[in-house]
Amino acid sequence: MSDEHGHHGTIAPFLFGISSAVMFIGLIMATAGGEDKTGDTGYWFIFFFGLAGMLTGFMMWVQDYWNQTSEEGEEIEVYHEFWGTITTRKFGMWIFLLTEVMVFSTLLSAYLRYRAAVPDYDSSLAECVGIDPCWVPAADVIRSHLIFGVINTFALLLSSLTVVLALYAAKNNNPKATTRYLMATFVLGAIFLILKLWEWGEMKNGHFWSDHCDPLKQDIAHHCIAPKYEHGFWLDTSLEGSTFYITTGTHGAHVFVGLIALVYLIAKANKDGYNEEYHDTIELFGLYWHYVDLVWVFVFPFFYLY
Amino acid sequence: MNLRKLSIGFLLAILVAISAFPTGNGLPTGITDQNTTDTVIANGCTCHNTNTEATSSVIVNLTLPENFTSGETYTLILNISGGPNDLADGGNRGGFFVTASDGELSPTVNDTLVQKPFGFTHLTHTVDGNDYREWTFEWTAPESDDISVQFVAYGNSVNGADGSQGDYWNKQAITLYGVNAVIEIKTQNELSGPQKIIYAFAIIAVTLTVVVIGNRMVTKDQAFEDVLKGYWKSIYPWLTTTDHKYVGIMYICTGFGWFFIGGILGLLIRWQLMEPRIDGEFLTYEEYNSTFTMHGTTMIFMAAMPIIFGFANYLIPLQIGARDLAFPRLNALSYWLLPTGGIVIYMGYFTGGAGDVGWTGYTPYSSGDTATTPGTDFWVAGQIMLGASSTLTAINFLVTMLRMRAPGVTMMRLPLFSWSILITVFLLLLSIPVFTVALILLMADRTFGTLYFNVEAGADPILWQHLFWYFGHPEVYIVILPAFGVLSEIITTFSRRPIFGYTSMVYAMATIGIISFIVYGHHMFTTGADPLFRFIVMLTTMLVAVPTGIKIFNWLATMTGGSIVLKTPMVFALGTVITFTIGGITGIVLASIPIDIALHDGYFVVAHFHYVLVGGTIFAFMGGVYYWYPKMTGKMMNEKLGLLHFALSFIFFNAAFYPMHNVGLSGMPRRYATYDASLADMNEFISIAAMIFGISQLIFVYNVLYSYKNGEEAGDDPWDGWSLEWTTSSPPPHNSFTEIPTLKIAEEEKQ
Amino acid sequence: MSLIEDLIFFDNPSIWNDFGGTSSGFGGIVWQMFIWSVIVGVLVIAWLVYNLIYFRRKDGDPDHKDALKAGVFPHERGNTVIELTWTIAPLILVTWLTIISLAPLNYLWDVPEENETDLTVEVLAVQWQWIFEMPSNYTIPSEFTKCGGVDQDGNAMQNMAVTYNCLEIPHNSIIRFNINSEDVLHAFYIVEIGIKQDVVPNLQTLAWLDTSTVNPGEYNIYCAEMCGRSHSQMLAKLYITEAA
Repeated sequence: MSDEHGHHGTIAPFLFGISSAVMFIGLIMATAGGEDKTGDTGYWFIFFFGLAGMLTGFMMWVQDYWNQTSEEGEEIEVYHEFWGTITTRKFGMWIFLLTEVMVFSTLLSAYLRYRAAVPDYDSSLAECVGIDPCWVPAADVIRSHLIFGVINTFALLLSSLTVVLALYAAKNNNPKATTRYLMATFVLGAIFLILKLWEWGEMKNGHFWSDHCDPLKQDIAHHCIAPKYEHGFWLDTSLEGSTFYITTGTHGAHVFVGLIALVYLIAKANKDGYNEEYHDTIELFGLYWHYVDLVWVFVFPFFYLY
Repeated sequence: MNLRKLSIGFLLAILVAISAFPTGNGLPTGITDQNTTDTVIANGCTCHNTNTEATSSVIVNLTLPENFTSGETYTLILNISGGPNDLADGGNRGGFFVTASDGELSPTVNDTLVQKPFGFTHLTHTVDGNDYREWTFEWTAPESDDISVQFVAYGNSVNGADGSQGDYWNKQAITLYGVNAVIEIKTQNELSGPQKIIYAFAIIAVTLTVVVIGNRMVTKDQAFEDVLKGYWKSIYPWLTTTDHKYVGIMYICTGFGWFFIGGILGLLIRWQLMEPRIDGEFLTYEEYNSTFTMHGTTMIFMAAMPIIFGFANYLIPLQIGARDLAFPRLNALSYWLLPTGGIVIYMGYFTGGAGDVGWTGYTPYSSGDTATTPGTDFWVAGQIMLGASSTLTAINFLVTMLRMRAPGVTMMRLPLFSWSILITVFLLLLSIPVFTVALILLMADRTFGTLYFNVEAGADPILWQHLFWYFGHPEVYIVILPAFGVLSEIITTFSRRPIFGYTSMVYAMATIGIISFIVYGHHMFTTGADPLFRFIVMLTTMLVAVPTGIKIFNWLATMTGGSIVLKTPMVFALGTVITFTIGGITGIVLASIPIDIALHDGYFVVAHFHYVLVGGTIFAFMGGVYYWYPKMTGKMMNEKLGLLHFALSFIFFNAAFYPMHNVGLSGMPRRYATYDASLADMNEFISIAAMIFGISQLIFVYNVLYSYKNGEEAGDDPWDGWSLEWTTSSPPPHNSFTEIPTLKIAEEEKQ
Repeated sequence: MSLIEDLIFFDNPSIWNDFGGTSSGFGGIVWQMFIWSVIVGVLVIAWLVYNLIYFRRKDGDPDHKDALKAGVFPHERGNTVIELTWTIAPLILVTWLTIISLAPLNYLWDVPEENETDLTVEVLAVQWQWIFEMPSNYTIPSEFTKCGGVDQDGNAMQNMAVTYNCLEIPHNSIIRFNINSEDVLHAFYIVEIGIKQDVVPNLQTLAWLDTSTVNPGEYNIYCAEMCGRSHSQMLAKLYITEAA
């Protein structure tokens, strides 16, 4: 059943499919199974087993590209000029990014819809200190510690630059520089995630605001946040929390997936796998990474500043 | 004397000595330390190591009152009798240990036979009390008397010899209810209806496997391992293939498999509705809710879409003159996420109940506690997997169709089935991610406590409806457009003339695709949404009838002046035109808001969508199976069986679903497990017709299997079709074309 | 056979008779929908049958000039005038149907203000029952006893202000319903009349009925939005009674 393209049969798709199912079954049973339907913790093992299977499938998948040194013979002949201006894989990546645009549009529009329905908290208003609904955004919670969001933005933007530099280095047959720039990208991405996780932890535990607060007053200038957040700001605290954590979390998950892909790229770059003749994978990754960066450029002002 | 030998001997002697000692200790002092207490509670009196198991002939009796009142103190008696050590004069020894889950045990004042060790809550015997077989003590009832209290009593029947050899013990657990306690009767967990069906199928599958393997072993005289190896050799290529033809066949077979399962669920619905039924008479009302939910989800996501993707997988590369899709491995992944995702969705049946939220999963019912857990969670998770599958497929097909067309295949020379798939994947790309995100939000609400659909936190329950239908409406066009494509192919070929108005057919499909994003509000007319929004949606929904009408008229005009051959594919195509037209007409009826208000969420809607989905998509693709089966297998299907299949399907489909219009006009709501008795006659008629419709599909299955072995040889182009798949062999060679073809144009061809 | 009768003669929801006078007779939306559905359906089927009769291939028939050939994109075939006709005509038809839907639509959605109605009923939908509450300043007529209990002598008692799964309203009145949900989505559906409105938690939705357009008597209220286990049993009775 092998055809002459070099796309031979592979068990990786089957393995990935089964592992995803196992992962989900483990997750659901661990969080909602058991006698009392509130979770049977024994199933976490199954969840991780499924994740491991998915990772194995991914590794088997990229196995093909590990030893590849040239794009020749890979590219399918194009008979209609216009569509041949970019490679198949690049075209595929652009279309994939289109679907990702839909993903983040949905998250952002749900957030804006909820936010627009209710007035924002304003200290001059009599509302919000009682039962009238108002929106106390995550931005108010973070404002006193905005520096971390700024560092994160800077890190991500810089990492987009380093990945471009890595591509240039590859095209110029400079394997050491390629590896270094890819590692820099990884480090910057990791900084982003670590800072974000730390930020989340602090927000969740209410550590971003001062201890000396009048519980009835909402004094944001002195880092005293709304009574509704007195036990912390987490995804089940309020709609502000849910929208914040899910949207930034989805973005963070995309960064994380990017880091996993980067591990592969760095490993291959390290064995001088990228050069003038073979560097398209870095470019494809770069497109994805730029997109993740672009989403952050929207998420940051919408959630951290607004 | 060898020192080494001596020391080894010494060591051995010590080891033997240690093992010869009884490893347990009889405890004439009673159970007074933590270790032993834990051991007794866990394993019984196993310290008396002759018998690590309880001995049933030893009778431990604990005398309790009939029930208890709060705060009262009662006198209890624990008595051991029977067993090998029982002697008439009662001079034997014994020990006991008793616990109570609530209230307080205490020895009687001045009693020297019973003790309550300091720091413990149980009672046991003292050294003096070691010589008895009966002990008396007290128990004070807890504050609340509407609970039950569990007593566990252990009795050890001692033989009087030293040590713990020859002792026999037993234990007794008794529940004592307070005066006001509600006595729970534990009923045997009976299997639910759906569980019984699944287990029945599993047993049948296992039996069949055993029979098949056994048969092979006998007829081919092979060992068990060899039979398995042989099957593995033929299965493994299917597990690892990335060839679009094989992936396509797997999609089609899996799709029809789930169609069969969804059909059984549909028949369960119809059996339930055969007459008005009370809760639990056939299905419980909760099970019924799961049944129609799973029926809808299965049919749309696990039957219709896979069948469509299957045909697309097989035919698109052939029709555009390519060897495979742009990303063959990704294609295989798209396929494998389907059966595995389906299994995840169905896991609910094994964990207390499948999702029961309707295929539309409206919040806040679906995001709250009253929907089945974890069945609904599985329903959400599995669909996330299917959403990923469809997204990857869409990317694959878009890139393939734009980039990999053969020479001569310009965009306006694509076969209409290819065009329908191209537009369909555009719709998929823009709508599935939205649904997948909505599912993730729902999962987050259910599993992680977020508040996206939580009404108390201020969320808008209608948000889900917007997100769902923004996807849901393009979704139904995703399943009908390829059916249009199939109809165009079949009607053209069997009229033996070109399609009438190729260009307008393309523009009509594109228009339908674009409009589909704006009309989704017509599912939400009664929600109390903005009046202007509802009006725009009414107008655009009515407008979508225009391009659809153009297509129907073009098909009919293709036939006019043609030379019509009435083989099975054509018969199905024409039947589809009739039933789809009826479905389309009822769609226009529903588009008018004043009329929709009375009909929304009723059986008129059920009739409408079954006419377009079964009468449109399913019939068209059955025609597609008859049409392309020769290409895929090299064999012709049996004509007579095909016509019989059509006749029965068409007649009984209409018999089952047409009366639903009337039932809906009479006011029967959908998703009802029972109904007003005045509608019983019609419902019974519908149910019977539906069952016959279901059974007639077996003719189709038989035809497919029979023709694979015994069908006539087909040849390259048995129907005289024009598109490129008919220029290659039947079935196509491994790489689909021996050389990439060039599509010629008729105007340039010399006749 | 009663089944055939059921298929041919059936009752439409009564509000369709004329939508309060905004859409009646053969020119009204209901009749127009029916007429055009039949015309289009018959047209399509008749044309299909006509094709099958007059254009069947018989053995030995020669192929048309533009017959199909494998690997060859077929000749263009069409007729612009005809295609334009069957684009514009349906366009006019559906626009017409939309336009005549507007008046009945406004009739249904123009819920009168509370001070314009004769009676405003508070409807509360909860899993799985209907709770109706009369306004505090409304005197329940003494002959309204359908939803009341029965006293020791077996006589029907007057309805209370709050009733469960039963509602009695006066004939010849404008009634407004303020509908709320306690928990999940439901839908308030008066079956024989054809009034339907979703019940949304956190949102008050409205419906109204002019009882002079219907006959006094017994009607059914069903829940028409999936709401859980006993969705099919969330039923209530509606009585429209002449008030003296």
